[in-house]
Amino acid sequence: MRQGFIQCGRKLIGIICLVLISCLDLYLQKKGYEKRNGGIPLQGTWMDYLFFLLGGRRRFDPSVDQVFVIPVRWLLYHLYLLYAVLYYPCRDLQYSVGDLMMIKGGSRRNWWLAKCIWNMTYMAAAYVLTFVTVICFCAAAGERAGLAVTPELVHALFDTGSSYAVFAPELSVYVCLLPCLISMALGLLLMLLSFLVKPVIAFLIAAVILIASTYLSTGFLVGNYAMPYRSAAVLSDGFLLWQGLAAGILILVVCVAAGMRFFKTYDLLRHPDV
Amino acid sequence: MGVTWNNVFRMECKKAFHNRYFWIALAAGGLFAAMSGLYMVESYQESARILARMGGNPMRQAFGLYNSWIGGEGNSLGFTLFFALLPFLAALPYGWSYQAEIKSGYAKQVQLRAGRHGYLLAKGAAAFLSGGTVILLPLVINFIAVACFVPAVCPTIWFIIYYPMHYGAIASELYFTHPLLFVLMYLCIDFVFAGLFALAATAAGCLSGKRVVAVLTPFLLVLLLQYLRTFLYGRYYKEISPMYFLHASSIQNVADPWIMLAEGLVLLLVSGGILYWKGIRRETF
Repeated sequence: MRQGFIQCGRKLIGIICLVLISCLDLYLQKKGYEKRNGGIPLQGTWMDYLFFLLGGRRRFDPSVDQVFVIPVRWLLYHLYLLYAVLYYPCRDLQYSVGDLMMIKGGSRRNWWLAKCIWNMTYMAAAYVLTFVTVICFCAAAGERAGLAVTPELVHALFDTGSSYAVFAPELSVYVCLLPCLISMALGLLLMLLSFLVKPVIAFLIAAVILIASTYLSTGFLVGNYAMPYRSAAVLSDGFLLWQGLAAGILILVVCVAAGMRFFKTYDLLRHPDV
Repeated sequence: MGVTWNNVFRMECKKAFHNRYFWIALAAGGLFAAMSGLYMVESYQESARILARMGGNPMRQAFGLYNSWIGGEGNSLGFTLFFALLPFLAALPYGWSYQAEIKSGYAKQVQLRAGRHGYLLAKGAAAFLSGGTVILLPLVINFIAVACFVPAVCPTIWFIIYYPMHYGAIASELYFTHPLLFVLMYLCIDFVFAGLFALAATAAGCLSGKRVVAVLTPFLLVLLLQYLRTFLYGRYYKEISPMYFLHASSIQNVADPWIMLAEGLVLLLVSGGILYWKGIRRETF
């Protein structure tokens, strides 16, 4: 755990930068909107800033005269998180530290479980850092500290496609919990795949899953559950909280179990090159 | 640049075009292009069926090859995946090779025979060619395959809503008069930029020494640039992100030749500079 945070800790600075850029983006958009509307102030909460960063993209309905625009803010954030946890486990094995730890730990299963716990803790730490950064930015910008999403701001600046005049309080749970859970699930999937295939190919697969999720609104593409814009709190036929939780937990359990089984017979001398 | 350099270059090209990563990148690019092609041919046939049933104007010029091939359409999953992952796919075949050869010690053997300059030049040229080829081939195959099913009707401004080509876009006159030349021009631009992404990956590998970092650096930088362009929203109407200006029609803003040239030059000079200076100064032995 400590080694993982020492080796990948610097990448958390990148997360802070991305979050600050996103906050600045919304702040400037808000100021521009206020200016266009005769200076009537539009107050936001820190949940609005989180919703802006982690919201994703509204459902896409392909038609001949409509082009698909990637939700790059959401995609960059999630891909960067996956990049941050991509090569530490493989590198750990490559430079024999992992072999020694495996012997000291007593079993291969323990090594894999430790890596899974590290991966999930790193993701949780990244999200905590995201929340803290957003709160600090809002405090500096004079925004309200609130857990509710402001409907006026969302309808004015966010392209959610929602028909609700106000949003249910559960939206905050969708924003804070599900993206974190899905990032953990994808992080474990990526770690498992990086041992099965090479880390770069594993990342390619994860990127395809995320990009395809932005295009296709289906429960089979797990990235959909990391987009609160498509949740039942925003759309009348959006996905429910339990569906996202079930999908995330299912992937977590399957990845942990598959990794334990896979590592029983894994050739430790055939290290994936990172 | 004697016989030795030619041999090294030939060997580098052979390695760049005959490795697992090249085939994986080509297969992924081919799959995305096939997805786009199948979707657009199906869309074309569906539209033709509906228009035939309705009678009246058959709108032949609304749906043609030039807004159905992957570079001309902007609404299929194949197009989205191909252009979003273009820098990644371009860097995948050989962008990682320099750091891998330094790490394994193989680079010493080649540098002894061809010299550092020769080795670096051959490595950069092979990376450029493999990156360009892995992007160019799916585009060409998609264009030919779609042309087998969708007629190459010359685009017209009367059906402008079906052609995502905005006023002032690069060579828009050519698009509406000689569309095939326009497509060839864009294929060349995509080849060059894909090659430059591969070169940038080689330079990133030179700095970091990790295969993953080498391959992913151009991709993450392009995504970051794509995001930073949102700050220009409503203020500047030219496309600055390669993810969009490498597509042959306008996605949001119009592509500007000077911006493309400037970004290409920056990529070439920065990547080439890093590769040259770090490569020459590195203590290989």
